Amino acid sequence: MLSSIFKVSYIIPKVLWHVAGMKRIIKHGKRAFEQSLKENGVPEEIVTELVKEFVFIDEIISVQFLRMIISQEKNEIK
Amino acid sequence: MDEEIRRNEDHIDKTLRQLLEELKNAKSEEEIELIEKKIELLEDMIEEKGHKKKVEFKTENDAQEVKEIMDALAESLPKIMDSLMGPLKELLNELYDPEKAEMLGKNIATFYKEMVAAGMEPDKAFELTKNYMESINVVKSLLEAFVRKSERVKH
Repeated sequence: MLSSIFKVSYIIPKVLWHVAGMKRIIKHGKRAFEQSLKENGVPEEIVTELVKEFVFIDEIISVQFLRMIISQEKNEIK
Repeated sequence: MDEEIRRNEDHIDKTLRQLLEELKNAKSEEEIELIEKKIELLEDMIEEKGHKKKVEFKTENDAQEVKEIMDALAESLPKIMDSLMGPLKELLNELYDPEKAEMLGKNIATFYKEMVAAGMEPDKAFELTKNYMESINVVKSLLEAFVRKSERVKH
């Protein structure tokens, strides 16, 4: 029983570790994309907007997004 | 545990026999009343024991059920998480590969610059570049399709 509880609770840090890995991958891609745009002479404001568009998935894998979903679910339940 | 139960049952048996003997040998009404009271007390005791046994059995069953659920979760949840996280990570690795991102940046920059060089207003060029980016962004189109489908299912 105790080992099962330990195994189940071990999943949380494991998932967080995976999420951190995903964030790292996205960050590397984002940096390369941003640098490439800047090097090719795209204005700064446009670079910022395009980078936002490129890494929209970074917003999805975030605490804020999770909070937003939870609050939406709560409202739907009410 | 079983020994204790057996001992208790023997004890109750003995007391019952004793009471029956006493009831047979009773001479006055007062004695009979006293024995009756003793019998009632014994009955209460037996009932209480039975109830306790039932409760014990129920809690044991619940504990067993919780244990089984936890065991099943401990066995299947890590597998599910691994089968979800692994491919997702691989997909992201493929989509956000720095070399590919650099190439995409180059393409988009060329697209934008060519339109500005052709005399288009920067705002309009930016809008078109954004549209172009959206059209080649596989993840976004996939997610949008998924959201649309889930909304349809909700309604």
